[in-house]
Amino acid sequence: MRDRIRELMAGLWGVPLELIPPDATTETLEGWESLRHLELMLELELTFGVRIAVDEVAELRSIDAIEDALGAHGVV
Amino acid sequence: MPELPTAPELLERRRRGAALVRDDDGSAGARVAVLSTYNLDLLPPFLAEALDRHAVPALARLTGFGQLARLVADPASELYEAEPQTVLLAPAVEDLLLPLYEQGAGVDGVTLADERVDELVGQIETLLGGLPGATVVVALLPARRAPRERVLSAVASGRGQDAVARLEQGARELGRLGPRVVVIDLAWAVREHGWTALWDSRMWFLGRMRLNAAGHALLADLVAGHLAAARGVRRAKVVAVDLDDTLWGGVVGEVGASGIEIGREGVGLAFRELQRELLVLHQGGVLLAMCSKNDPEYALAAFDHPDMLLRREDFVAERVNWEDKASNMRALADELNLGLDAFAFLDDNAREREWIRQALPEVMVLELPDDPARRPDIVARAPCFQALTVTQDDRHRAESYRAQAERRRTRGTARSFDDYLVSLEQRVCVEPVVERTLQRAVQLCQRTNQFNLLTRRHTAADLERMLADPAHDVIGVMVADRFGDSGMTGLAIVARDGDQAEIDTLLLSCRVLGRHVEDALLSVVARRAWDGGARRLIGRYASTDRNGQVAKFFPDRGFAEVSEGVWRLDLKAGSMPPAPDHILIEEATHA
Repeated sequence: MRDRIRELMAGLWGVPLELIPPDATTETLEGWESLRHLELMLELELTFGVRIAVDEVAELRSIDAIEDALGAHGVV
Repeated sequence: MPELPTAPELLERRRRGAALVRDDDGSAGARVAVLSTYNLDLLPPFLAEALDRHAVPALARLTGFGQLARLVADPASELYEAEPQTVLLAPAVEDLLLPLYEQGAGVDGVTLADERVDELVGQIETLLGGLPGATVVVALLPARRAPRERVLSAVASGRGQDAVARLEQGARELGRLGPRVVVIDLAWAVREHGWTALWDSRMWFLGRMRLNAAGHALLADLVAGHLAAARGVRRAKVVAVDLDDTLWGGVVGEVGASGIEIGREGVGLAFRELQRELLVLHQGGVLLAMCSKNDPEYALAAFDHPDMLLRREDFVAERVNWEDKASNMRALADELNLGLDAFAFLDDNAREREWIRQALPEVMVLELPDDPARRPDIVARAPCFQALTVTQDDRHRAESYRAQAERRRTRGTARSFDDYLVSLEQRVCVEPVVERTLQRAVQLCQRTNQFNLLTRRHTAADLERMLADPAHDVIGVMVADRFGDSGMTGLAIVARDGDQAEIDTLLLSCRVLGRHVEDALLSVVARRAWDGGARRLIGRYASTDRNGQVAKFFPDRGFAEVSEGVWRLDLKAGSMPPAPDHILIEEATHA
């Protein structure tokens, strides 16, 4: 799942996969700012058919957190 | 109105668009500057994809969320420096009327709306002056909610909806500012899809975005569609239309003109409404042409159906034959003196659509769903028929094309139809019906409706009696051509009495109509009667609700009327009914 999220981010932002480390967070990954974050949330929703609540959006600021949240939404 | 994309389509559009934006090295055509009062930062990829799909060479780069007024007013702003060819001016009603939403009573909504319209007029004029040659596309986002919605009465004074309506109407009128101003009636589009499908409160709270992903895609599609219409990119001047199962339901060659599905309810109504949409296009200057694999005489008879909305005269050109459709499309382009890129193609058959796409990529092929109920909307909303306006010239165009095509047609297609008949290499084989072929002959008597002069429903016993009687000549007709052998598809029964022969039955299956097989058959019937000693041939016609097409069969062939429905042809050596040149007749004495 972690790699699927990384691939999705790399595809969304048009960067090579190796530039998205598995432990990336909004703090450590350059360019993962608020607009890109919102775009990523939309992409996750459309791709996995989940709905991310407004307060969740603010919390999902790392690949770890996104993976956990998708798991909690039943995405495996 | 474009349909809303599904989630996978949204992902695909955004992905393609983002790649287009990334790959832009500055060489790709014009720029679209997006100026909005709300956050449209997610629009560029969607807009790039939509522009590409609509074949408008332009890219969206600059967005100025919240800086609309400054960017327009400051002549030194980055907007003018970028020299965009198109400016998308995208305010939102709820932003422009903000004081009314926040303060309510005490603000005169209608006056505020008028002031906002005046401001927009000023901004557009500034843009037109500062960017000579640029097009300003205005897309006012309608209100999701009206101010003070708790006021219910539609006639309450100071009702919030009045100000909203005033502003929206004023924005539509901005289109009168000149040919370089294109106004998108976004309120109309939103009304179709509804805010539920276009709005996401989270995106508003998190990013001041007034549209969800589908909403962004819709706005992008509308902008690209309007620009394509304004520039006349990929617009169809002609639509080539299939007949069976496209204009009407059913195969007219099988069910007959009275058996096709066209009417005022059910699936027949769906076909009728599709015809209505085509008629509207025709009246607005889009030419209609037939492109159908059919027997022409037979297929065209469908236009006599009383519920048919389109008339044959509404078509400027006809290609109804058995040639492949790509050849027919080329022939239509030649006849109308138009490029193939001026053609749209309407056909229910997915294989024909795919063939045209491959053979003639410049033709605009409409994707028709299998369900006829969904088709009228597809035609009504196909981008290739959309235009910013319809002029008086447009309305007269079809008429002048038709007159021109009519002249050519009498010359051109008459010859090509004969050529077509010759090219079929038809063979008509006539042989007496025997025990082995009796059942098929009975079947023809029972089933043939249209080309059947007396419609006598002979049974097997009837035919057996006639076969045993030397005074009766019972002959079956086999038709073959270079496409195949149709088997026994015609029957004639002639009763001889001294020097007179009377036609008891003359029928042809609809599969072989329109190719002069009937003349081949009559020539054989007459000659066999002559050989048997007859010098007069009597024919009778009995009208039914299905066999109107043969009402004039005898008079058209030189028979004289003896009494009502009874016709006589005097047989003379040297002036017998002729066989058509293009048909080879083979006559077997016995099988």
